[in-house]
Amino acid sequence: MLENIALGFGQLLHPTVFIALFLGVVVGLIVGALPGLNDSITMAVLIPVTFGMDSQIAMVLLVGIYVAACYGGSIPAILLNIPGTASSVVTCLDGYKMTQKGQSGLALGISTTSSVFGGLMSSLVLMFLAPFLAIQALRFGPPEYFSLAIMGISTVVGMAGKDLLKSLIISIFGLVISTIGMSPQVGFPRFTFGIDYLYDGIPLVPMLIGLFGVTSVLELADTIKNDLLSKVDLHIKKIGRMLPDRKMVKRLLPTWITSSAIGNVIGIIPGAGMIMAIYMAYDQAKRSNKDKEFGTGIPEGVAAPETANNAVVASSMVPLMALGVPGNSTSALFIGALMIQGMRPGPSLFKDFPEVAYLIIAAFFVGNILMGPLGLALSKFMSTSILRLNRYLLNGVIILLCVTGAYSVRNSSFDIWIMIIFGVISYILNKIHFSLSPIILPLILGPMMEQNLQQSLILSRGSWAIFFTSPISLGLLIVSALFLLAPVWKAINERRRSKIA
Amino acid sequence: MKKRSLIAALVVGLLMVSLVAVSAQSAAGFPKKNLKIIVPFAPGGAVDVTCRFFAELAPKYFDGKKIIIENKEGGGGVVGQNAGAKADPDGYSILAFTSSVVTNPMTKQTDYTHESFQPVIMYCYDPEVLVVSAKSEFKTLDDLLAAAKKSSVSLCTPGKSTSHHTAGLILEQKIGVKFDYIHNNGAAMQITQLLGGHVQAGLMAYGEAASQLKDGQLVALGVMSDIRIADLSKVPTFQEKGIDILYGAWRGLAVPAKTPKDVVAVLEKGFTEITKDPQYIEKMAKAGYPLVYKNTADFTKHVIQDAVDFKNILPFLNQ
Repeated sequence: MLENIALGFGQLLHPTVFIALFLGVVVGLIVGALPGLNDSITMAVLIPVTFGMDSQIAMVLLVGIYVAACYGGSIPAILLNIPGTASSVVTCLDGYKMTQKGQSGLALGISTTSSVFGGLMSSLVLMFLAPFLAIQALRFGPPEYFSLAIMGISTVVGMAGKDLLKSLIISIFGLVISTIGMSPQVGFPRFTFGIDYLYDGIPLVPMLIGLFGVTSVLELADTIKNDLLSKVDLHIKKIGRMLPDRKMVKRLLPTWITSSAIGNVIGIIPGAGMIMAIYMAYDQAKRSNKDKEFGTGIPEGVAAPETANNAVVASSMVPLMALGVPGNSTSALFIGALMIQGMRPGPSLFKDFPEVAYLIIAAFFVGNILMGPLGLALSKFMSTSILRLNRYLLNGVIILLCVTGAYSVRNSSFDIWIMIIFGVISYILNKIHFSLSPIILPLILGPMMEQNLQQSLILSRGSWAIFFTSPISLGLLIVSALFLLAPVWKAINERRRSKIA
Repeated sequence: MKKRSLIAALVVGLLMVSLVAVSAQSAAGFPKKNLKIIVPFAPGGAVDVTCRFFAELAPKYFDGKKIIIENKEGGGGVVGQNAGAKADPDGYSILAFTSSVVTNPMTKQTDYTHESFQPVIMYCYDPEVLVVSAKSEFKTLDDLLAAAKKSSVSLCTPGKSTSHHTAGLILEQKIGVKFDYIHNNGAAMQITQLLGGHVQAGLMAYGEAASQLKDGQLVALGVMSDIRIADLSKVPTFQEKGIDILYGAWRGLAVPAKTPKDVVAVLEKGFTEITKDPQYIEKMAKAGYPLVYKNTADFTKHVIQDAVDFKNILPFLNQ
């Protein structure tokens, strides 16, 4: 075992292999930081190119991109309130508020250290626990996935804070529009109005770009108008200290540990997804820090999602390496990359090509370490250049990035309309103190819930007992019920107390 | 006034020149510019990767002209297939043509059918396999089919109305077995469901499960091809068991139906030569995509037969 791990790390000492990993991390950071571009698009385009490369070089290059992209996404999330990748949507909540408070440096520093922590934890899991955990993940069948989706959606209540009713309205709206597209079990197009582009439902990335990018451009335009009247300086200044000090590290450590545990568990379950992990981690951080008001620029609010998303990265490779089943759509691309090299993921990879199998594992570990200093350098560069930019110019650049990003996902101008529609709706709703962002999770989990509900009921021939006879499913449903009922319980208690008093 | 008539004359003249150019374009000198393959699926998948293999070798066989890959995903292929059908029939826009071009128009509302296209060549045929977990109670094809005749067996597919679902329906019609279908989005979740013992059997293309079959985590019980697969020499074909069924996912290239015959011939020649290029053969073999070639005439027949087969089981699709 240790011998093989040494074999993996040993290959990284080879200069060309190391440089490939280094380049992968740099490319990953950049595509992550650009809204609309992400790791899976970049990797998919690169895979046919890797055919001509040495298999070791090809693999570490892709690992580097995968490791760094979701962290890169946090940079524009913090600086501009625009998530660079879907995995940074939650980071916006507190990250951008910290920037507005003049703590952009600290926010970026926390995002960097949290990402490295989460990434290293999941690399260790991949290195030592992969075969054992992959088998455990197989216990998840249709009823368990259904209950997991319920639990994911129930975090909406915890995320909501004071505006519970508003959040619930928007969440239910999200569930409703998640039914747009092909029905999974019956195969009939619903609410598509004959538009081919809606067959797969509302496209996620263009919607997110609209929700965050377009909205913040419109809001920035508002502040510029006000600024002109008061002749205030148009620049956001201070970056502030970047790396968190010892006191901050001590404070964040519990958040790091729980968030990386959440990320690892979700990552290992095939198809559960990064978005669910970041919401659960944020929700958990909020529950265990009741004294702090999340959403106002709390360091834990940045640390939790950024630890969790990087903890998903290497752990999503666990089922792939151990069983040949991809953990998510990005790790699925490694199948293509390995196949082009004449290899296949799964146990045979360790037998037939141990040098490649252990190199991949070692590359996740080293890639995460490289990501730290490289990421700090990029965030420093981006924060100084972006924040120094004239805001008129900045607005133009952002809208340009938004349009190209929305278009490039599947080369369709229809997606630009999706972006604009969601951007404008969200801007208007913000004006009346309604946030559209609780729509995201139900929109993603809705189809998963529906499909697994139908699959479960086919397997059980219509009996709902299937959700309660499986211990995992039952456990998840109980936890969801607790999540949902906690605020109600609290309200009842408070009322009783006030009556007594 | 004079100026305007001059412009009008110029416009008419230009139009005529371009019309002449279009009609003369057909045979001689094709291709004059780069070609484009529209891939109606996401980058990184089997269809995309195999088309990019063509793109890499294209300049050698198409007079130095390149092939640009354009991914237009969505709706299980409908978005890209629609774009392929509506493209100018000049041979420059080629569609990555798969089984779903036949099934989509019959199951969804589309503006095209398989008859909107002229097939060029088939380059890949991935036979359908019936797989179970290594821990399954079913050890042979006969075991499973006997059980499925008594009471239904749960069967996972990579999606409703896909060729894999169709293969199950044909089996039901032919020998009176009964399946409870569990539809997914792609093969990855199918494999998870089989390995975890949540579903009893699965139908998928051989390539999708090759690594689990080689590792022995999954076991193939039967193959829907006319000869046994080299890697699965112990697995019988359905025909050997007396069940006349040949099924699989095919991948090819096609152009809009109105494309001039001689242009199609140029494309057929070019792509045929690429499939004979040792480099192409090596790439396909390494990546595990079975290279099966059919020329324009044979591929067209194959597509028509597929459409007839699918139409026959269509009434059973939504039962």
